[in-house]
Amino acid sequence: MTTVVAAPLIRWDWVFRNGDKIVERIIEHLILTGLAVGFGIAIALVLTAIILRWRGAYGPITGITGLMYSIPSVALFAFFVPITGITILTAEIALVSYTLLILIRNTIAGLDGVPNDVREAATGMGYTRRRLLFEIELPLALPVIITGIRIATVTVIGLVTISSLIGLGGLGQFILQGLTTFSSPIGTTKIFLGTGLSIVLAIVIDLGLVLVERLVTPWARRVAN
Amino acid sequence: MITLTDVTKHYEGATTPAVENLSLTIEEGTITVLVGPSGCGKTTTLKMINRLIEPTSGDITVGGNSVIDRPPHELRREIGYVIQHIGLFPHKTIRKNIATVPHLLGWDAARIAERVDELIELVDLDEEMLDRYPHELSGGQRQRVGVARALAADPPVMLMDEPFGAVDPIVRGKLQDELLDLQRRVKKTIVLVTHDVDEAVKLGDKVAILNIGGVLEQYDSPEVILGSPANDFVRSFLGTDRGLKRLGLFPIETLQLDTGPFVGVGATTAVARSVAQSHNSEWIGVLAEDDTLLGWSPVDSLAVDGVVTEAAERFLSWVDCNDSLRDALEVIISSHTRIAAVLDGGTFKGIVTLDQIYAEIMT
Repeated sequence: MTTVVAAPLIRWDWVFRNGDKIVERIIEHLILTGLAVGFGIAIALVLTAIILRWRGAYGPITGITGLMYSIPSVALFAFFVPITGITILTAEIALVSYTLLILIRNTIAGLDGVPNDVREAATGMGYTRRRLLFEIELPLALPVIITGIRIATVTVIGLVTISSLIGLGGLGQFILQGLTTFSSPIGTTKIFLGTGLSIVLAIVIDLGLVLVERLVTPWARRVAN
Repeated sequence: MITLTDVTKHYEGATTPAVENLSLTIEEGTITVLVGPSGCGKTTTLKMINRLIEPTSGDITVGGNSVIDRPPHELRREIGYVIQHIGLFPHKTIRKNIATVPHLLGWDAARIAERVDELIELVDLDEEMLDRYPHELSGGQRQRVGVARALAADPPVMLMDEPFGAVDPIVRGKLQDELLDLQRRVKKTIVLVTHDVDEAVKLGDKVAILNIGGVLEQYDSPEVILGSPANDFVRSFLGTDRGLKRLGLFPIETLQLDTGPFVGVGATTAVARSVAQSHNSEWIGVLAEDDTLLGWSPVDSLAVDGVVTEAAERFLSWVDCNDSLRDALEVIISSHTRIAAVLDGGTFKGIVTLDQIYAEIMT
């Protein structure tokens, strides 16, 4: 076996030569993440509405989504490939299923955290159930709901790399290629690039969501002095 | 006017009703206080008026209309509601909090703005508070915002559930005075729940004393309830100091005031001695030329032949003619002279003695 020690960990010249490809992979990564979180939020909203209407549904719904959350992602891909093929749908089914538990639990926790006296005062002054939810409860639950979206997004950004196993996966492609061509001079470069960029992406988007949270909750910004 | 007719509330799973066959007529433009020990159903009764709790049976009317016939949220927009922890909306500015009910009723922005300005003046809040959030205000200020919010759409009726329970005693006393002052101006029909007898007799035009299970033990003015409790329950609930509490209801100005052993500064000591003697007093009070209070001197210390000077002992406390007989009693028992000097905006009006107060207790 020949030694590869002499090769540098990152071949910057390769990185600069492949700028286009890298940008393309980043966009792919963002699209896969965005779709997963977007559909996740939509489905979580429906399930949350069901829970708000029938409180008894909370146990079964979090039970099932919790089960989905606990299945290793690779196993989930393997399970769906025979059914839905090697498509973006297969990847998204797996990714969305990981967001549901986090999103639902945080939304319900946020709504449950609305102080009782606030709810009583609002009802006593003539809020209907619907207006209470949209004008009082949801705005007050926003910080906790957005925290859920942050956790779900960061989780998905990490998981998207694994969907490269079925030929998708944005930045995960670099990691996979790097692993299969480990002994080539650009193998480690690709691994570092794929890993590093997905971490940077997660941090940047998380910070962006923190900013969104601050914008939509102006009352929480001015802390009592 | 609010009427309750044979109202019963039986919570599911409870062995006895929380309120049973309660009938009560609440007069328009008065403060009616529901008071009683915990478990007496006072809060349940209050919340049945705006249907936060649905009565099991019986009828409740507000302004002649049964509350049962109406959609609850419409009914509630016509009834002001203040609760112990106020429940201001943390995510809305004070301005928006106050404008809650007008907003629900769909008033236009100009009308809301005008009303908010009126209200902050009414409850004595600074205009600069309007753009703050609730957590940036003190407890007392939040309470005032709560009252302003309840009054926003000018409802004829206001329900208050232990409104001053969460503030410290000093602020509470001040807020109680403000409520009475406010009520003189707005003349609402107020129903207030408290567990505090002192608060009940201070605020109530009428007080309803409830026993466990929502049994109405006595319903009358505080004067009558304190003067002649209907039964042993009421007597023990009012406490042993019920005589003192009753004194707190009578202002000093209702008494025929005695002039007391007082002379003007510069009077001869001979005159002072004879005035003191005629009042059977061992001291002589001294007034300035403008009838303000200078102090008092022991008769023994007066010069044999001379004039009364300003060099007198100061009165450490006195009462205003608007104060209550209870305040007068406190001054009497803590003073050397064993009287309470009564002033009207600084001018001496006379004195209250223990005998006068005792006579008042006996009537």
